[in-house]
Amino acid sequence: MNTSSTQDWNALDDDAFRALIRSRFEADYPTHLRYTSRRLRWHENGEWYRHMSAMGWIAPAWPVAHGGMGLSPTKLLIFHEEQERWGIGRFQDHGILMVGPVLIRFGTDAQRERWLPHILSCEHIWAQGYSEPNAGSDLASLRTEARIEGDEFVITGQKIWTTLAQDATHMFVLARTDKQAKKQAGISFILVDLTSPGVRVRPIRDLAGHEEFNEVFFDHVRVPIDHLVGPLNAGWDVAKALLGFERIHIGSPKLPQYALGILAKLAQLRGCHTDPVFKARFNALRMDIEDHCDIYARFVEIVKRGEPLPDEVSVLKILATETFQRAADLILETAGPAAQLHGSVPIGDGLVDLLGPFYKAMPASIYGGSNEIQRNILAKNVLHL
Amino acid sequence: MIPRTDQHRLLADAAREFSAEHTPARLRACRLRDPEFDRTIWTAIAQLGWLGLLVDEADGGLGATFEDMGQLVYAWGRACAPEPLVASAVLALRTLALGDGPARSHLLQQCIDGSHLLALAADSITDPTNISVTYAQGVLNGTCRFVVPAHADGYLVATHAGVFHVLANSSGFSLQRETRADGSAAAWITLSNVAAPPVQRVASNLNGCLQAIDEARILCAIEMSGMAARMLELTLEYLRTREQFGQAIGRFQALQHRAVDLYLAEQLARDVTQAACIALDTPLDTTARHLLACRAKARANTSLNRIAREAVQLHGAMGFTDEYQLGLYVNRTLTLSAWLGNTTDLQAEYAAHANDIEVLSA
Ligand SMILES: Cc1cc2nc3c(=O)[nH]c(=O)nc-3n(C[C@H](O)[C@H](O)[C@H](O)COP(=O)(O)OP(=O)(O)OC[C@H]3O[C@@H](n4cnc5c(N)ncnc54)[C@H](O)[C@@H]3O)c2cc1C
Repeated sequence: MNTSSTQDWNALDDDAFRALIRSRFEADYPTHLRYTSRRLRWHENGEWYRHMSAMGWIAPAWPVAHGGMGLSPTKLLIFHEEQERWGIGRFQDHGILMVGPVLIRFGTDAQRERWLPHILSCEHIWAQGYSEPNAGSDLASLRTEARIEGDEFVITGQKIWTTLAQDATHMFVLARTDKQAKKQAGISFILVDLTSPGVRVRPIRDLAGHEEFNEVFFDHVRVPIDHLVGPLNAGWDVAKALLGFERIHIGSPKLPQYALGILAKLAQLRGCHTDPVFKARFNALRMDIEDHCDIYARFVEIVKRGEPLPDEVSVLKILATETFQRAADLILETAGPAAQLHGSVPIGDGLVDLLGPFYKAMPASIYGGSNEIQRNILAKNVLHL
Repeated sequence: MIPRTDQHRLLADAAREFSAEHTPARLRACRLRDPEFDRTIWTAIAQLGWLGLLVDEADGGLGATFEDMGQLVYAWGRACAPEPLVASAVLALRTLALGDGPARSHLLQQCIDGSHLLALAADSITDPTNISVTYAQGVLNGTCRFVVPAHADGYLVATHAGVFHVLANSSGFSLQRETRADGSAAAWITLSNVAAPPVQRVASNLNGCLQAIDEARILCAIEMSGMAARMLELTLEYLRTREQFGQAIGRFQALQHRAVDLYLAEQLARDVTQAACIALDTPLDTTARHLLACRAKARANTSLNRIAREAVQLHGAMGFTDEYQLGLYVNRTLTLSAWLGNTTDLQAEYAAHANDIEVLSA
């Protein structure tokens, strides 16, 4: 059932839209995948997202013309809220969140026709190949090289911290295509099939004990030249636009809302939801999150109009991740001695993963451009200091 | 912990030297394992006499001070070592030493020589008066959660009728291990009609147990300040060596100020916990000790949590890996800050026992 082409979501009133989304999530989302502690792997939640895809719900923020739901900011917020409320796990959604929007902006018609349908159908799962061991915050110092040989790029180098590369079929790679040019000037944005010969993926275990990020090695990997997005050596502009999409995503109220949902459940199970000190703290946080929705909506509006995101979008990333971290900390404080326990913890007559939100929140101020870098951007480009 | 005497220095040096055994590989190997520490190391500590530091000479111990013990515990924290020094050699052992029951003296011997490893089971340790294990007609019934170390030879079970010693292999005794953030474990024990004849009585009331909990809070805070010092060190090292934008990231003033804030947090934790530890060696009334313990542990909690989070942030993605040793400290931080009272609980305890707020007249 592909409802997206027939349905004008934005014509529904908000409550009706919410009820519709909610009932679908509640009816169809597998219970055992609710509120999981770690990022789910594709073999676990692939089926659900293929279902979302079949319904036409996989790309709520994309324009209808490209197969998305074309939701207005308010509707998009409702969509996120309902997802978080029901504890629906995220998937390796870089295709939807980043590659799609980038192709819509910078791709050729041929590229859009070629790649977008596979993103929408979830056949292609994308990973982000930006960071390298010596190019983190200073991304432009990256060294992975793409040499042109005939009608192919030959890529050699190493990426690191690549989230869920082990599940991805494709990666968008920033590579140096002109070694003479200064830093930003010689970089290109290239789409790489990870099943190509010469690609090797090594998982890195993280602090939470999960294997979510990876090292990815490229040894003379051959890629057709029409996998280049944007002009040759102009990949930096594409990369920056994509970071804007990443920041508005990380900057959405989703993550804090997810933590607030767990906090509410925990308080209920521990019986402290009526405690005045707890209530004051909980509601202070809730007000922060509601406030965040207002500022978020302004940026969603910009995306909706198809305008480039201004540097101010860094505001969202900082606010959302730091609110998320405070919410995760409040979960630990509220849990009392149980906060020392790993995994799903029996509390009263329920189970809560207390450390899960903490482990998710902790790196959120590092990835997508660290919060220090966001502050640098705001200081320089917005406040002109 | 700053050594103030030659004896402190000797202990601190010895403990530091001993810490060389604690390679990150060993620490990692202990995780998710039963027992969650190395028994051979425990025996080696016993042979050095360290388990008897807090026991009077008359009872076969060394009759040393809390400040002496603090030197060891601080080094333990710095090394992030998994052996349950505070949980067993302070919390359980002091409960035992402060007891008045017939089981006391022979158990003390076995604990000091390392042959018997003890854990204290006092339900909801932040509020031990809220105990759920009952004692009636010579048998114990009930459950107790968050018992550390999970792996022990015997458990001191607190009840309103006093404290009893129960062997891990007693009939009617069972436990479920719950994994903690640092890969160690806490026991959730169940006692169903476990026999506790009078000879197994360790204490006739809970006074000693409550005192031991406050003492353990302070020593735990010392351990945490040792961890804080090490995390700060690792972070400063990284700031000096990691280069981005053509320079060491420690040259960015934004990060210099952050590093200074961590230094403030570390110094505060060190001095507060050290002062509390020294005070334990002086006469203290129960309320004063309790307030001191709550304040020291709350400070260690807040400082360490701040440092752990920022240390990761300042390391970037590297700080979030398991391969790098910082993670061991971060996960131990999560574990220890929820043990023996988190900040919220300790602040509430402090408020409940401190003098009422006085309004100063102008
Ligand atoms: C969980 C996780 C998932 C990730 N997933 C991906 C992924 O899928 N794909 C990908 O390409 N990358 C990914 N990353 C990498 C991420 O983008 C980088 O970690 C980030 O850009 C920071 O780089 P770095 O880790 O090298 O830290 P560094 O750049 O070395 O920074 C270390 C510290 O110095 C600070 N710093 C650096 N420069 C300055 C400055 N000029 N002023 C002030 N402070 C500064 C940083 O903010 C940080 O606190 C992921 C990271 C994490 C933690």
